[in-house]
Amino acid sequence: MHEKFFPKQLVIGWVASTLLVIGILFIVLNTIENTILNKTNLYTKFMDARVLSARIEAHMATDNWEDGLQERAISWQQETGKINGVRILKLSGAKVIVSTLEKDKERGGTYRLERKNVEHKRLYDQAKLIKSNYQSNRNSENLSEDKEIFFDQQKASTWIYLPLVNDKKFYGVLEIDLINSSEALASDGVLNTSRFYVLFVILLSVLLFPVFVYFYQKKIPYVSQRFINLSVVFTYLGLSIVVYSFFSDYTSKLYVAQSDFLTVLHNERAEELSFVKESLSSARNYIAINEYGKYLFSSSSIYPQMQAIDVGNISEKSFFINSYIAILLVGLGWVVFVTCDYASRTWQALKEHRQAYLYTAPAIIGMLLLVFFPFLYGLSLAFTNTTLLNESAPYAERWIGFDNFYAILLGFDLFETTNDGYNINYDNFYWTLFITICWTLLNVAIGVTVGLALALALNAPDLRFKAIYRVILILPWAIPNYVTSLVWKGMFHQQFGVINQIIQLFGSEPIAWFDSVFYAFITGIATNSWLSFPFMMVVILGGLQSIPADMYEAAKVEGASRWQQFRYITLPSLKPTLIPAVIISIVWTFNMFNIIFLVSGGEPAGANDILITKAYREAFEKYQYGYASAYSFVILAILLMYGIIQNKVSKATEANT
Amino acid sequence: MTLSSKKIYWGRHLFLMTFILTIGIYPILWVFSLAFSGSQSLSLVDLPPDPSFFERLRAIVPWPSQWSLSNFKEILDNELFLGWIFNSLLVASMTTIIGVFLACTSAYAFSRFKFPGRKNGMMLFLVSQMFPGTMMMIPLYIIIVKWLGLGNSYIGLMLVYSTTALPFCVWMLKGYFDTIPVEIEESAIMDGASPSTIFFKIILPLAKPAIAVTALFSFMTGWNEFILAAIFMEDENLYTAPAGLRFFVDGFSSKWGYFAAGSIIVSLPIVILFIFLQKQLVSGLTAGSVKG
Repeated sequence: MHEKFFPKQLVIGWVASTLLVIGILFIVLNTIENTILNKTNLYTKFMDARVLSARIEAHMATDNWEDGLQERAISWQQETGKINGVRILKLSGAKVIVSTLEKDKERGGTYRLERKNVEHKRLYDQAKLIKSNYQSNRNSENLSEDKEIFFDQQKASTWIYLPLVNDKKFYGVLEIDLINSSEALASDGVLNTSRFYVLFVILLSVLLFPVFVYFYQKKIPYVSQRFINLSVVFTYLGLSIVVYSFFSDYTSKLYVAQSDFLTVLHNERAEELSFVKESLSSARNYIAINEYGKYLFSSSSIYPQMQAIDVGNISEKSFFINSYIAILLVGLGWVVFVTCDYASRTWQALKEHRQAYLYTAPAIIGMLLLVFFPFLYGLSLAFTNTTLLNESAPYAERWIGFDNFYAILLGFDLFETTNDGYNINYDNFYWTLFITICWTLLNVAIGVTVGLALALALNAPDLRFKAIYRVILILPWAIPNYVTSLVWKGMFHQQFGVINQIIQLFGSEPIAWFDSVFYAFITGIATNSWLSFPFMMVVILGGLQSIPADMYEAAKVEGASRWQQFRYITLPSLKPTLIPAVIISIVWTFNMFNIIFLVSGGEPAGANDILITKAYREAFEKYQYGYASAYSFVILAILLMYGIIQNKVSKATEANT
Repeated sequence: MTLSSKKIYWGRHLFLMTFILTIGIYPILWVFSLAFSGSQSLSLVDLPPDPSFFERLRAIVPWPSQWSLSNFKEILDNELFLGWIFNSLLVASMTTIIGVFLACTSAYAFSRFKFPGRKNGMMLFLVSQMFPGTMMMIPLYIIIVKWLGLGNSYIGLMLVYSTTALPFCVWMLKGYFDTIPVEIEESAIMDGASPSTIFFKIILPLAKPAIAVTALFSFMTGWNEFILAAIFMEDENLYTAPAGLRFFVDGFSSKWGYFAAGSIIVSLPIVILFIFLQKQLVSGLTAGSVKG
């Protein structure tokens, strides 16, 4: 098929992938730089704001401080030169006492907040929130400012809200509108060389693609294809490591530059603030400004978008992220390259087999849109903490990595201690898994046993009313299983249910079926066994009828007993029909949502939930969409594992027989 | 007939009769007696405070204390219930039409044409059968209800149901098409028939039994599903019958008589169809599982 070494589509693929990789690399590098710049700027702003609030608090300690505050505010504003305006809200009375904001000019600086004004209401709510956080922080004695300071970053300016405290009492909120200015980081030269190295290495790795293609297509004699494959993999890995090291070198230089910049900033502002602080006598005890810096950069609570990056101390997390990005980039090049090749072949195939694709297209498109796209979307949800409330937030904000999976699989809190000893934690994954396995095995065992017994009883050519028996015995299968479930739920009713009537008939006390784990489990088993035996019966009956009668006759001649006939003829001949039926009914029972959901509803307290109903409850009763998605994917993984083991085992047994 | 085989013959009858009467159809008889009892109570007779053995025995015999058609009459007069039936019928028949049409065309292609991606395509259908139901529920809910705004509409349900039923239908039909000899089509081509003529005029009529089973399966998917219907539909009037029936007997109301009558009305057609077509259904199910 490939006469030329580099057919047209390969060249196109190669060019496309090279361009793509370089483009993405630029975007990634720029994003990293921008985030660091952004954080640095934000930090600077925070410093400015804090200096201003310290000034105001220092002023508040003097007598008659409210007189002429407006003029003072304007002078502060002009002094710093980076502020668009400030506003001070006195919380008691919801009164703005100072405002130098452009929009408040006509109000003259002092006014009451209006209830109907959306912007006013927002400010008031913000102030209330800050107050409650302030108070809880003071009560907790450790002097943190967690959640007291809010940032609102917008295009033109950044808004900061800080608490104002007078004589250790919460007074109100200071709102500052800061001009957005970007200050460049120093040492650009170092960065540029580093950036050049990264580009060079990645370009090199992309350039190597055609070399591999060459080897692939030439099919060098005496060199096995596997060897070429292995060498490609190793080269790829080696390149990733090189790229990774350059990449991390580059980013670490960025962080060092940032750290240098901030150190200078610290020293400047610290002088300014300590000057202000000297005039404070009774105001609150400030955390040292350097401590602030650490706090701001080590906690994401003040400003959620802030990641854990310690100034001058590059955290390990960013190293890992960089290495992922680097490896992904090289990998992506390969993927695009291969995809281009694949796409051109697909196009060829589409032209050749137009009719076939036309026939399958509607179904496949439907499946892709309504099954596989939701599947991938569900997978993406599994890595987030999506709930009903934050559903519309940007994906990056909801991203929590593998935390859901850790919570499910590494949650070994199977027992909880209470005053009267140990209790089983019914929400634990392993408890639910245990119940699910018991549920599946027991149901299938009962189904097979009952089905086998009935099929054996029915399997007599001269049996009268055979057809009628058969139809009646199939009924449980034919009835929609939600009806069956609700009917059995009624039959298990504690007061009026038939089952308790029967128990009372024999003189026992009625049982509260849904109050105990064991009894509730029994209700599910009873219901499911009732509706699953007909399937087994029908399948086994089919199997029985395909056993040739002369085998039994021969056995009779040899003098085999009925049991021997059953053991050595019937059971082995049933195997090929029984095994697929058991496999499929294990999967069905494992996923049998309706019975558990409708009969016991997982009562008591979710103890009887199987995995799939638990996932439903997480999603549609607790609205933990992210967690529930992860839970579902764990279920899928279990099923897939079962499928693989099943396949291996059945292949092995096939080989033996 | 020897003595021992005669014993066995009657043993079979005895076993089957006992099983059927005590377990096999007891719940069904019980539902029938609730439905025809004319009351909403769960118990078939009112027991005195300190009942005797025979009074208790009477209470478990599935025979209503008085016969009445009032449950059926009242439920068929209930506009809500009739609406549910209508919704179910509409959704299930549209599901059937869409599902069977899509399944026929693609199964035919999978059976007759050799094209790249054929195996993968078949696997695609099979793999989707592995997905646990709740796994699809969350993304489908968000996509259909929140993004597309198809929450209170039949279209969302129809689309989802038809794709749910599709994999089984495709495998089932493909298996059947494989058994139709290619020579029929070859001779049709010789006679100058176009591919679409062959498909619609020759293959589809030949595959009628398999199509009937596929249709039944699609219809049952739409007719019996209740959880997605309950999630997607917020308006009570738009519930399908399964989603609606549940509300007769949930925690707040216990209209067992209505529930029983309603379930009989909803289940009867499907049960009859099922009994007629179950042999083919079983062979389809097990055939798919063996190949998987």
